[in-house]
Amino acid sequence: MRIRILLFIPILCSMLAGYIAFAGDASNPGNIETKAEQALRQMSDYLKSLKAFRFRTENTTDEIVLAGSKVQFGQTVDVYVRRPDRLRANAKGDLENQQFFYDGKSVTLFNKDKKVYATLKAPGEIEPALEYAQDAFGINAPLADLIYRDAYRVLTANVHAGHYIGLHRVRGVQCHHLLFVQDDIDWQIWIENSQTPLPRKVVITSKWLAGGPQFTAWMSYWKTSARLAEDLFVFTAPADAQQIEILPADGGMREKK
Amino acid sequence: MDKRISKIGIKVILITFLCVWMTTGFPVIHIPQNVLVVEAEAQGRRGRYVRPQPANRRTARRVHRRHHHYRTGAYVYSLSSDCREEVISSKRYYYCDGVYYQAYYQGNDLVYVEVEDPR
Repeated sequence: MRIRILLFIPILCSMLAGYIAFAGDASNPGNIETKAEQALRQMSDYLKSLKAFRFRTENTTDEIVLAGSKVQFGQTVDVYVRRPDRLRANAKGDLENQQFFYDGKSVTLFNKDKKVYATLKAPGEIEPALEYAQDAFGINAPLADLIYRDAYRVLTANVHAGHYIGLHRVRGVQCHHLLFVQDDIDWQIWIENSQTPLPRKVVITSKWLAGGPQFTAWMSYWKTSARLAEDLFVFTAPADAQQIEILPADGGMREKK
Repeated sequence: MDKRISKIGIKVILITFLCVWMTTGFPVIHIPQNVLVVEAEAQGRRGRYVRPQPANRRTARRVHRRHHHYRTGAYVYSLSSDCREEVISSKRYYYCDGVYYQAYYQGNDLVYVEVEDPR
């Protein structure tokens, strides 16, 4: 009888150990090297400390055209952030000339070339507003993950492994070069090695798509204590602009052949 | 009696160790992850373009759905240059080769949805 009870102990212990291992995984996702974790956390904490800031990001996006060839399109985006509830982005590129406004009450997309805009009511802070726009309508602000207050947690949520690649320069600025591995993408980030650990470059690679298309962003013109006027964030429709609707995220539509 | 207890004790310790070791994923054995191997596999995904998604978003999502009715539902990403812009009851339409379209946002993209003749 006593032996049987004793034999139960290891089973209970193993269940407990399994539970602890599982709970541990949830709080510390992935297997991230200490140096990589430190650099990413420093950047996240520093960005969180900024109240009002602006930067420019020059992006390239690979697009696989039907014959399987890769074509690269460029875009320059000026981003203005005033925490907790103002965001503006002006995107000018090969494919579109679009502006994003968030004034604490609503999100507006304005296509300057086509002179159309769409507005939707959104929650009262940047993060819930971005989540709502993304979930309900599939609208995403480029590199929005970086401006989330807990950027570290958001960025590493789906990461399996993180690696420190080395100290490398991006347009003359010495940066920590990090690599993060997820299921279907890998992403790299270059974080300035200084008292102001700002992101300087991001590369996202789709691993499982033919051609391995990449998104690249170079961030520059950082102004970490910018004076940003209220009217920068408020959209006023030009007289010749037409208001249009936004299709809900699932759409249920079919592409016309 | 003492000997018997100590034997059981050893067994218990061994089994405990084995169970813990197995359930924590064999922590002593290090399985290197060859992270730099990138396998490209054609997914046969169709569409206009295939964009790498900045996918580091929160996993737990609230899902909001709004229901709209679009009469015909077919859409295109761009209109040919022969299309004519028409404003009918203060709404902008695009008339191309006998078909009327209206502009909508689909995410960040503009699409042109085929609609019934508004006249």
